[in-house]
Amino acid sequence: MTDRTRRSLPTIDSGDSSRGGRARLRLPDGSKIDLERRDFLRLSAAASATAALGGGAAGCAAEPEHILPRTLRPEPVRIGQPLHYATTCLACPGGCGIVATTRQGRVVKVEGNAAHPLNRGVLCARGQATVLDLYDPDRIRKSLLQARGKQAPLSLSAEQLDARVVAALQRVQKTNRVRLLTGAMSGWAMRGLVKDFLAAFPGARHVAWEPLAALVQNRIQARRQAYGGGPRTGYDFYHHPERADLIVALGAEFLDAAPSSMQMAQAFGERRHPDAGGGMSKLWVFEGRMSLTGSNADRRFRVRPSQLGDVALALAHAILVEQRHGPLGAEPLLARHLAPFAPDAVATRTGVAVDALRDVARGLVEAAGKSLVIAGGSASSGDAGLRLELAVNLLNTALGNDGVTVDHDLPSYRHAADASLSELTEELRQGQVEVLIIHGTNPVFSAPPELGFAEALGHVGVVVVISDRVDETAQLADLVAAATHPLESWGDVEPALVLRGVVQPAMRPLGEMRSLGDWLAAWALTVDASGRLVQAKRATEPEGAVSSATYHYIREFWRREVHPAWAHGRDFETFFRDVLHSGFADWPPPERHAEEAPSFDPKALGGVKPAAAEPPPLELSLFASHALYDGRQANNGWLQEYPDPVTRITWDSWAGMSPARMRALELEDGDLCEVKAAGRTVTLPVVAVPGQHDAVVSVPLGNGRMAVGRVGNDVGANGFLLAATADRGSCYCGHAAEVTKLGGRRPLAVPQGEKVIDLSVRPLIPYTTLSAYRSEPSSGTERPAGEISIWPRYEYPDTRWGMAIDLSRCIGCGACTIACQAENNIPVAGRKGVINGREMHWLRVDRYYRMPVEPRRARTPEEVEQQRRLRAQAEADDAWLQNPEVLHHPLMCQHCENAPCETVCPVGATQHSSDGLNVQVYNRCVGTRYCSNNCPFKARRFNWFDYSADQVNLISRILQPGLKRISTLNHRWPLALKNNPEVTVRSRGVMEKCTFCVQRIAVGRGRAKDENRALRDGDVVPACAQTCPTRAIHFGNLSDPNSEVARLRGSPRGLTMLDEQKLGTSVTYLTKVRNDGR
Amino acid sequence: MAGEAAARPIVCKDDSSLTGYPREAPGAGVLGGPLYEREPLVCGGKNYQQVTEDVVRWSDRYPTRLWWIAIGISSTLFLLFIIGMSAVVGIGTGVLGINHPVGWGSFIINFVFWIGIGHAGTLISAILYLFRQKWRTGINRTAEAMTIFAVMVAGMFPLLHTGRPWFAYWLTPVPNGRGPIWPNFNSPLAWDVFAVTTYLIISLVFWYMGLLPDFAATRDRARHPWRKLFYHALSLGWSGSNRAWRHYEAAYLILAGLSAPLVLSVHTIVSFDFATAGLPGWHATIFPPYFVIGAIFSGFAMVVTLMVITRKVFGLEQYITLNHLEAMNKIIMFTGMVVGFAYATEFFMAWYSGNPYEGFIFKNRAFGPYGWAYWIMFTCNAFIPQLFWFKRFRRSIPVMFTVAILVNVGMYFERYVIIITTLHRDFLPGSWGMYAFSVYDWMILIGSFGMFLTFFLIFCRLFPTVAISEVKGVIPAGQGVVPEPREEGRNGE
Repeated sequence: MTDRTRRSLPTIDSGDSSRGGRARLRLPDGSKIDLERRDFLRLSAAASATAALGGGAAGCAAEPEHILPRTLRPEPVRIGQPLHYATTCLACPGGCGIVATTRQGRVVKVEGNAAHPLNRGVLCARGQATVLDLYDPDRIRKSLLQARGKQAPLSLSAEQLDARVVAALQRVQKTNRVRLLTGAMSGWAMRGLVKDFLAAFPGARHVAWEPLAALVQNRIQARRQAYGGGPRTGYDFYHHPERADLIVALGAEFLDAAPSSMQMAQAFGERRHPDAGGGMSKLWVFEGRMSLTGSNADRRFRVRPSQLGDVALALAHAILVEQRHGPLGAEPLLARHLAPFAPDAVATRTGVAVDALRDVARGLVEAAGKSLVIAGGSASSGDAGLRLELAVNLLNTALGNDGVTVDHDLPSYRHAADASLSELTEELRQGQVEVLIIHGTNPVFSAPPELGFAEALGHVGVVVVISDRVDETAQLADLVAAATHPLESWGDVEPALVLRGVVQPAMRPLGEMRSLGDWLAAWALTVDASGRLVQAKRATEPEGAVSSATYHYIREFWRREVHPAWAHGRDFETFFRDVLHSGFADWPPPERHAEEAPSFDPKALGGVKPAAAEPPPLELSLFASHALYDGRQANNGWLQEYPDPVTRITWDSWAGMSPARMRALELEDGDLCEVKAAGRTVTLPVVAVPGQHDAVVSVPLGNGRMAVGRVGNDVGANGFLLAATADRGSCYCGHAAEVTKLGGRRPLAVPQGEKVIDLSVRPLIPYTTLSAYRSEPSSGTERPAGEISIWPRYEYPDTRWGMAIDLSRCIGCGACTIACQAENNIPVAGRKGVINGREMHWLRVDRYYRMPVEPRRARTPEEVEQQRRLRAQAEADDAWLQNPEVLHHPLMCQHCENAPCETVCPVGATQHSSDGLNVQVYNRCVGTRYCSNNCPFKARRFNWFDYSADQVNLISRILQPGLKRISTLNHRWPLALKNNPEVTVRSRGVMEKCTFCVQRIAVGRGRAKDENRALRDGDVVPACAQTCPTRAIHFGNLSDPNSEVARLRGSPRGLTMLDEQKLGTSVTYLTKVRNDGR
Repeated sequence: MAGEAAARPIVCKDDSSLTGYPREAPGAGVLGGPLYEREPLVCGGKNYQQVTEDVVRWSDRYPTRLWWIAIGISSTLFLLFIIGMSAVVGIGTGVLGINHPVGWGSFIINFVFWIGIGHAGTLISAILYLFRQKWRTGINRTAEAMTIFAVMVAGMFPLLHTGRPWFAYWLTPVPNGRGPIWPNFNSPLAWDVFAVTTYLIISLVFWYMGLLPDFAATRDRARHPWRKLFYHALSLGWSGSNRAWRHYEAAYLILAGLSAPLVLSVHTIVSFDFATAGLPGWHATIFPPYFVIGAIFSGFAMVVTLMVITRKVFGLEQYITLNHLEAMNKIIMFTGMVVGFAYATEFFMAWYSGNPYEGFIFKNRAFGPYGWAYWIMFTCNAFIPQLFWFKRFRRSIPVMFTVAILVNVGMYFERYVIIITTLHRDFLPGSWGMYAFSVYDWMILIGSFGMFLTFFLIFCRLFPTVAISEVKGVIPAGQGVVPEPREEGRNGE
């Protein structure tokens, strides 16, 4: 071919061509051509073009190439297209459905599963951050011979570990000297698997223990006492805040870190804006510390957590005894039990105004049947918690909320754990246990130290910990079996009676790891050759079979147990494929029978006593930290840098006290103190938390890990050390605490600047009350008049991207921050970075305390004078900060039309796109930071170092030792695998900022184009809007008058910030309307 | 008799015999009234040879021990500067104290400060020249050298403060292979590039132009062949012919004319970096005059600081006399008052505009967390120069040296206050933050003085520190009068 091609081309008679500007050619047929030079060039150009076009390219490439198409490509894989797998999030026992997006076989993003009935597409920050856990460099990728830390850990292959464990198990076969300790396990099949495994050891027990399940144990106990045992005891109620006109929360932290707080937030958010159908709901909160729930309250009362039960019973007294409301109102036994809780007496004891108590009671009665009384925060633990939960049950039943806002028929199994750790510890201590297998829980870190769990482990023959890292418990183990991440494992969950989710792997394990089920199956094979687990293990043996025994077990289990009742007529293969596709199976909720509303047993209140007459001067309130929950994800940089929604503290734990108490103790923010409770002390920096009760010290849980990894080790202090033990698990609240100043200081890593905003001076956040909104819908969004501008306006004939954020709906949880971080490859700055003001979040949620000055623009001199007086008063006396109103303000690049950043960039690296985006060209940026300076919102972020690369070398180690930490947080292998390939990883020295997820815009545009239609709402959903639990963030095309954002932008509630600067921002904020109705 | 007295200029033996007042000769004026005569600009009754000798002898001998000590210290500091800058370029701007929201810190402060220092040199060499202020001759060479070095130091900062300094040339409109990508001419930073480079080039040419005849004089006196060759090359073959002088004078005048508007334009454009931004505290029309006058203020203070040292070390008291220093002190006092007035005007405008953000910024400047910086600035710039109302202080070397140093401290803090207090608290309280120097900020600030002084000391060693040819024009000999050597001055008679 090559030769023929060559031969077919004319050859130049070089001897003559140089002469006299003429070319002589000899054609293949032997004829000659004599041409002018120019004609020759023309002809040869035409000839080569023809040759190239006519498939004669071989003439250019003399060597033949051998390439093969990839015929064996897996069917669903399309190069450049992501794959999605529906699975379940196991970051907490909530069991939210997630969709894992994978590219080239690795998970790059996790999002809520829109079809999942529990979370309907949203996902909290912790769920979003599980991707980073997956690529945690500190995970062990091989099993270890740990030998309780007596010698250096020795790496073991899975088979070597199997041999050792099996040897130990065989020693104790047919005895009850085996125990399995796990975290909450709600999955039906997984519980079955564990049971099948333990079947080889008669009498052996499975203990499921979860430190924060203690918050629900009292609820379950109270339910038993109040309504008697049900068919399936051990479940939690299902609440429906979306059905309530009035929610009274008693220390309830239902928007905080509770499992599936996103689901509660979503339901709550449905009616939290003034235009909601059925009216805007009210939230009145009684609580000790300032929780995220409390920060969203319309009315908030400060009560010691230990006295919340008294307050609840006082409300019951006012409703049942004083007002004789409802059928329970005539119950004499109840009246007798409630006698010590007359509102006057309780008001004296607790400091809550008696009028307020009666007022709340009246409000509840008015909303009877459509109200919700809810508890369940850490105040629900311990003995006082049982009283509180009983009172809450009484109130809900008395008000007729059962079956409406409190669902007894739809039990929730999210906390499928029992409280029997103390029993197990006792067994361990007495030497009754030979083999202890631990998975998914870390009692050495999180159990109350009084139990002495760590010490009791010493009496066990062989401790096997199945863990993804050598954590505090695994350090004391003999053998550590490397565990997979939930995104690499099979499993199942059962978050509610009518809902079953599957956990399926979205990628192969990064090393020689196995899931719990696979480890147990491998061990069962030798120990017990007959069980179902062994059958599942055998099923992995044929060529081409799925290699996970858990998969076969679950499949069989679902075929046997779930399919008959849940398939709705589908055959099993179809049913199971559908389940794997959607990630869950659900069942219509059972029929509701109004007449079967449970009856409250008055005797349940028999043992209820008022709280101690002389409470301690300071009491403790431990709480699950919003970012870290119980600490299992403490090695996650995103979560460590995720600001607490209330205190905005990152990378630390703290002791929060009211500003008045801080003053009384002569403490400043960041002063190190010794907090003493339950006989133990921890050292923490203190911080003033406006709105906290003066007698409360709040300490977050989750930090203070000693063996979690290089990111989370030695951050903060362990709050679990301060927990007390109670009958039903740990007690996290209400016991006495002492705070002693130590003398040192530790600067707090707080990314936010000022915490107070005076809306009369800076009307940047649209704010009004419901009554003002009713009379004037545009109240709170008054703008300066006039449209004078020297700039020509941009034209957006087709598309202008815009966002609308409903501040009434926004609860300030900050899930958007982490969703943005995950989507856009945003680096972690580290504790020092945050202290130096270098956090990289493109989207932040500022938390402000509103200064009590009328926000509206003053018009008359009298109004001006009045404002001045109010402001002077508020500045002089911060009494209002004892219980302030909180505003949450999500802020990202506003994509201004006349963007101040664009004009000042000397190299034109920031530009305005034709569809209204303010785009940043990383390649062009030289990093003058002028744009950031000139940005009125300071929404831009600068790459101070090369976060994505390893900058640690000999010289940098001397000149800037902190770089090592940055490298640990962002660069260590395999952290880079988490990066979204559609987003540029920014290099050092360039500015970056919110792009409105421009990569998603491109995908949405492409899809619309493929389908040959115009863009419409929902084509483009940025990461923040996608995960927002309350649907506060709307995104769309402002040029399309029918789009949701255009409608919201035009609404009287809409405010664009700093209009007087003529910015023309693309983000509209909708008024934060506070429900001031009684 | 009267005519003879007028023709015979006053000759002062040395600097201390100057009074700062015109001499009064009763009955010597026309119609028998008193005759007022200015004191001479150069003391000691110098003739041409002595002038050349006094200035040039330093470059014709081995440096003194004092010079070695001084250059040792300043080059060590320069090394500090180089190390600091290497860290900034090699590791990242993160080694500095800047953050969000304070995106500009010590680098831009230093830039504005050093650019400002340069202004006095140009003012002295160009504007005073055009206004025929003959007293400038004693100080203009040093002041111009100061300008050049200050602008060189200043230029380092905008160049290296960027995140990717190796691409800083993108700010210039160089034809390139990246397609038709040009700088954004809307951006004041692009204007800065033009303003500063023009300033540096014109100042350099102007300075070198003035040096030509003096290099020639040095060349003529040099004994060592290498030295001779060095100055021969530098003097570009200056012959001192009439034609050369005529061309020289014309070119000098043209360059002076070109430089004069630069005195106003450079700092005006530097002030645009702030004034055209939208931030409260920056966005103000007062900025250009305020910056220019501040620059002259700090520049003169720097000239005084340097002159006090130079004249002492190089024995130039008879050329740079107390009268020179007093004249500069008067300018310092005047510009200080203008600067003080500008401070007051800013506050007035903040109140009068009724803009709450503007009002807050100024309240925050004076009473916020950086109030200390504001009050240092205010005291040093507006109050301390008021000492110069008293002639005794104007003519006291220790007082003027202290005041000049304090003025530059104050002017450094002025830039600090303008940049930091505006950036650290702007519109949204949530984005507020604080700023502090890191070790590298200190290293580079101190090191920048090292760089400046190193260059200045080398200049003092190698170049004629006084404009010989110009001085010769203002001594009596240059005006056609040959004084009798060693004649006593008339004061004391």
